[in-house]
Amino acid sequence: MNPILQEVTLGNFLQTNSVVHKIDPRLKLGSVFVYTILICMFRGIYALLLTFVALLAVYKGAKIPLKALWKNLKVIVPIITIAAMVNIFLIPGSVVFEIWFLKVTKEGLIFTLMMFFRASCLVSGTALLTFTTSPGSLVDALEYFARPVRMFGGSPNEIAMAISIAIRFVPTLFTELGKIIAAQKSRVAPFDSPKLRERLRAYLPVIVPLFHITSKRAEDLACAMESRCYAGNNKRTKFRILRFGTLDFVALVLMLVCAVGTFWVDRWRLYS
Amino acid sequence: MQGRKKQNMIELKNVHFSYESATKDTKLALNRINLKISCGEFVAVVGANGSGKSTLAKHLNGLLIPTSGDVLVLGANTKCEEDSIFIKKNVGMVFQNPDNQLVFTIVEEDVAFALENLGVPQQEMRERVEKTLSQLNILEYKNASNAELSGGQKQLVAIAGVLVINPKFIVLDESTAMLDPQSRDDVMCILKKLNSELGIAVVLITHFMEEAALAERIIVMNEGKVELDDSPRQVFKKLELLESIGLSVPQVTKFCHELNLLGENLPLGIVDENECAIELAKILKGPRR
Repeated sequence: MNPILQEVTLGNFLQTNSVVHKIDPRLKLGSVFVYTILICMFRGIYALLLTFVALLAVYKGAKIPLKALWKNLKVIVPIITIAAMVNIFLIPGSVVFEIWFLKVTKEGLIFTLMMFFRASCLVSGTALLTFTTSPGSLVDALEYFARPVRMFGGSPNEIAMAISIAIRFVPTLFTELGKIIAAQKSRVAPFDSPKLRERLRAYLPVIVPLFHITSKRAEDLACAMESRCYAGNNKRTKFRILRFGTLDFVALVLMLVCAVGTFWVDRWRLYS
Repeated sequence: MQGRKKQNMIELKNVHFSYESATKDTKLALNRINLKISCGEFVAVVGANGSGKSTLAKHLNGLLIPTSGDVLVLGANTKCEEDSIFIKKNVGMVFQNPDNQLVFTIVEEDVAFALENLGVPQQEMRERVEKTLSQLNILEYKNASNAELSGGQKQLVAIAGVLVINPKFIVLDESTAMLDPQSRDDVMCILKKLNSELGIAVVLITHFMEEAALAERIIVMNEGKVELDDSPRQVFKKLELLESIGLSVPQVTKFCHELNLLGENLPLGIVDENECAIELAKILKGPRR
């Protein structure tokens, strides 16, 4: 597959058949949610550092190369740098050193460092989920957590189907988009015009046929789905069944220990 | 489904169909179609663009309901809402563009789609998916993503997706039109195998005459009507008629016809290259005139 296409289709997903990949996606999705809240609650640097180290260990266990992680992390580097530049000089406290009129304080340094680790933990934690969970399993997990919509007459089954189809059609429509752009280019569409206005206008004849083709495809797909006995009812069975097994239980206990441990470290370091 | 007579065919009785709501001068997409397609047959449907062959295909499994007339699938009327699943279970449909009919990203998941819809238990589902994939020699792509496959392979996955529910009929609506010659041959080969080994009736809608020549029976559509319905040999004899409605004949048939115009005396409607070669050899070895 085209490497760009692969990136768009599967996002971050890297199949390495590790233990982490085999954990129930519901547990992974749920724990990322709790993890995010926990990271935001930490008040000291030690817990954050500890979390980051633990996370790197999990990456190691999941056989995800750190290079892949770096690709995700480097997106936040410019944002953090700018925020650090501002914070490092503005937070008042005991001065460590001075450059001309700018005072660098101990509090400022700690704050910046914390911000750096907090952001890194957030990004690498969520990235770990997408690295180790295929889009399909992720949809299964979402379907599970969408169960409460049944109370309002919604159908988690249909929501999951819609999301899966959307994911499935991303590469197809991407190829289509490429074709249309090529077709319009061959008719001298001014995609490289120096004038922004002209460039934007050049995209209108790309969007219109894309919409048209997409609706045509949707119709075809509807026919094909109907032909294959899809009726959107709840009698459907599932090809992939999620099972919460021993591995998941062990993972859950481990994660709970880590969460309580780091939280304790955080509060204990802070108040003692 | 009560009181249905057991029949082992698809029967179209006086089928009319129009895409617009009926007024006096609406063009009928299907005009008085009477056909019987029996289990185990290999039928090709040919016709120029707009001749109604795709519309006909969509009537065979109840995707379209006739404006007047009846379509009976194994005795079940497509008009009857309750029989809808029964009909679709027995008449599988494969479309032209493989990209538009694959529902899920991963091959085995996509093949299982129809089984999921029918509420088949998971263990049985896995077995049936594997069996179907190995029947079509694509078991090795089980865990592949559809985007990685070639057009022909995708079309085989699409065929697997309907084959998995053991239909009695498979309708292919120009399913080979977007494939390269090699993949087309592969698909045809599989269809022949399904027809002869599993006894599945194949209705092949196509505009490749060479493909149609492989069928046992050809239905020629023109302007919503059945123009011809006969064996390939009989159909291709009527070369002038076919050309007048915008169709061609296989190259061999055309070749023999041209030779006949030059004064040779070859049998009409040769569709097979070997047969043509034998006939030519007869002439070459025969006494010189």
